[in-house]
Amino acid sequence: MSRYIILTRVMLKNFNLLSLKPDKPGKSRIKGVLLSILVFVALLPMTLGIGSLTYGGYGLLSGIQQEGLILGVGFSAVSMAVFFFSIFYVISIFYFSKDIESLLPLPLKPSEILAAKFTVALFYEYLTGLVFLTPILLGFGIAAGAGFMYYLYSFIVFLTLPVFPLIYASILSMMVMRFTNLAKNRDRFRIVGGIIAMLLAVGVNAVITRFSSSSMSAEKLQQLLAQGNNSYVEIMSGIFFSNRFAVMALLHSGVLKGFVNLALFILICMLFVMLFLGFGEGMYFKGVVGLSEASSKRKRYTDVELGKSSKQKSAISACTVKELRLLFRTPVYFMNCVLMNFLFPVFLILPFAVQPDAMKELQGLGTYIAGGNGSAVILVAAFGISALITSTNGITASAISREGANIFVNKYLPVSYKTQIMAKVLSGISMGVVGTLSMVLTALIFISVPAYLILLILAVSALGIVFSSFSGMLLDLNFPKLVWDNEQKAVKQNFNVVLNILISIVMAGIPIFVSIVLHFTLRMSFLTIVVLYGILNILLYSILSTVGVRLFEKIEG
Amino acid sequence: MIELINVNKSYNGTVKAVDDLTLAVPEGQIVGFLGPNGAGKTTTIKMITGILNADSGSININGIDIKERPLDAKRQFGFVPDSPDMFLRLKGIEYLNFIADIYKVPGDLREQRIKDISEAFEMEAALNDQIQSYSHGMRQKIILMGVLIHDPSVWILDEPMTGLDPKSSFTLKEMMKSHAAAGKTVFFSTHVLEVAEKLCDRVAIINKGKLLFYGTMDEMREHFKSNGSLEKIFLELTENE
Repeated sequence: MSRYIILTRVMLKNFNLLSLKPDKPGKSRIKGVLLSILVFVALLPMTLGIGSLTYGGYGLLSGIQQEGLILGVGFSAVSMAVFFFSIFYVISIFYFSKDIESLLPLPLKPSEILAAKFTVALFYEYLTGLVFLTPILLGFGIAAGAGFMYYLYSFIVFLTLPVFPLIYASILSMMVMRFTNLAKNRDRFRIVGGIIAMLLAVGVNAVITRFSSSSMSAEKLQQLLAQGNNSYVEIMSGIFFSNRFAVMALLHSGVLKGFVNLALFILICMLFVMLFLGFGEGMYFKGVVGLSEASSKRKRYTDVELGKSSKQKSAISACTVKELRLLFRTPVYFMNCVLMNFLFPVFLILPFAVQPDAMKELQGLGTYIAGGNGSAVILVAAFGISALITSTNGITASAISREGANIFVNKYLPVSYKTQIMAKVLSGISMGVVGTLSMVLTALIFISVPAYLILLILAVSALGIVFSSFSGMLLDLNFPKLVWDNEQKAVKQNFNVVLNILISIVMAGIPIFVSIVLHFTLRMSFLTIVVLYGILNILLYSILSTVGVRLFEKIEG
Repeated sequence: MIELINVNKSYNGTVKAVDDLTLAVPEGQIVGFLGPNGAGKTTTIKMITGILNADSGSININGIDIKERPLDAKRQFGFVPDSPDMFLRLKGIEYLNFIADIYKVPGDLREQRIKDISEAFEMEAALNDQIQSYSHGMRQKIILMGVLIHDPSVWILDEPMTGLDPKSSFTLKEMMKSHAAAGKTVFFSTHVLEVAEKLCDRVAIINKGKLLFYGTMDEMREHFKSNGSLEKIFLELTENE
């Protein structure tokens, strides 16, 4: 136990998510603090939104004595979100973190390392919880006029709830990693493993949704709801079945029933942790030992191969190709920056795979497009989606950060900083194009759109992709996160990526909002976007080639 | 040649890593840069190569100021950093081609060079594998090969022998000698006096950011008899070995 505490403490020292501690002593922390405040402010509307939704929902549902439903649905959603994020955290913290190599020779039990790493991951999930879970707990408490016990229980639930999804994600990842560790070319198999884990996560979610929606007829559901007395909570099931105890504990926080439920909730949680550690004791090292082994063929190249590969390229294309190679070959970058591009089409298909009926409703959309402002809405939406996809892949927003300790290489190579910046932007743009095209093609399966509209969509998408790539690059030049011990920290725990997504949402949201509210025609929408974002992109380009270059000059490894 | 004139660098405005350093590395010579750990060797090299900016003073490579014309200055030298752990997920051949593209080495010339250099370092069979599968010494070699492929007139090497096996170390030393013999510049850092003794035409000894001595090995032996602090450094360097 004491070794667990020592280990956790050491690992948490590296836990500098908020970038509040400067990378080097003496370096100004103002930028880091500013960035944190900015992200906080940017996330505030969402958090407040969840809170007021909970508050309003309480008023609605307490009338039929089903207010527990809010907590139930809220907890399920949070659990699902935590589960999804956890897949990334677990794979990177448990497996790709650089400290593994120094921990393995120490006389530690697998479960001790695992427990410490689990705690670190849990801390990350508390940050997720802070954004999603606190507003639910607070909104409900305020609406219900709850007392001290409610808030005490809330705090305990806050600390305990993320444990379950994190354990599920850990076990899932451990099994995938155990399997992929058998492979010879580990990098490639880890990439495949990452894909499998994510598909499983999406699949599990889909199956649960389908199961829970079809297991009960509408009549029965109505009957149950009419019963009142929070009867709906009683039938909560699925993999997060334990959440119902948390809900019951909070609903009855004033009486013994609440305490019993809370105790049960904690008990199940502890049981899960024990099971998880037991499982990990046998499983963890099998996936982690030999992790850094790289395969090699030691095969001589032929003269033909050599001749083919040594064709001269320009500096910018050499740099762009290098960026893309690293993105595709580094498992963490592949999962976060490349795979992300294909996630949106999956999200698009998923609801229809789960509920085939929904397909029919889409047919109606076709007629909607044909008449009125439908095509204008589609156009601005496509613009927004292209910007969003490009920002979520985080390639440019982490382009400098990904260099990490090797940033010095960019300094001594005789390539101008502008060329290097533009090569990074180009790698972001090319993946943005791939992501947007796959989205457009998927959408075309569901909705039939006239050919001219497709062309217009592609034109505005290009502007959206370029905008997001530029803004991400500018952010990362301003706030590069160069000190990290696993690659995940450069991409996933990088505020620049989050901030760029938020910027893209706002900047893409404006034309969507304007064009819908002012009933813009297709032509007006198109022209507005082209003119507005054409100018913006030119502006950003010139900022990058002047201010951006100066920022790059100042970055010292 | 490399020229440093009154170069200063301090971290956080307090610790002086390099203190008023003036040094000229002439053409046709191998100059060793000696000093114990933390003496300011790597900081100096980082300033010469444009990785760090000097607080004051000027640095010229073949007469080109690194601050005023950074790109032209950077094309003059090839640099081997102290840690070869970079571009780990590129294949050896991809790294070499990347460097050749950056330094604009034409296709047929680079093909020949890749063949020659990989043979000299016995790396032919490894070029098709990712650098992360290489041992420390092999990584060192591929970075060296990256320098040789664009054939710069100035070589700057930070602790180049570390991790090399005797044979490769010998090959490198021979290459350094012939490079200097061809009238070009070799500047390398080491904390091992013995290496410097056998290889260098001149040595520069630095400690706590200050240049203590610059001259030939014979001059140094003469000099340290009359200079207490240099003797101490000399002892530190020899004792370390």
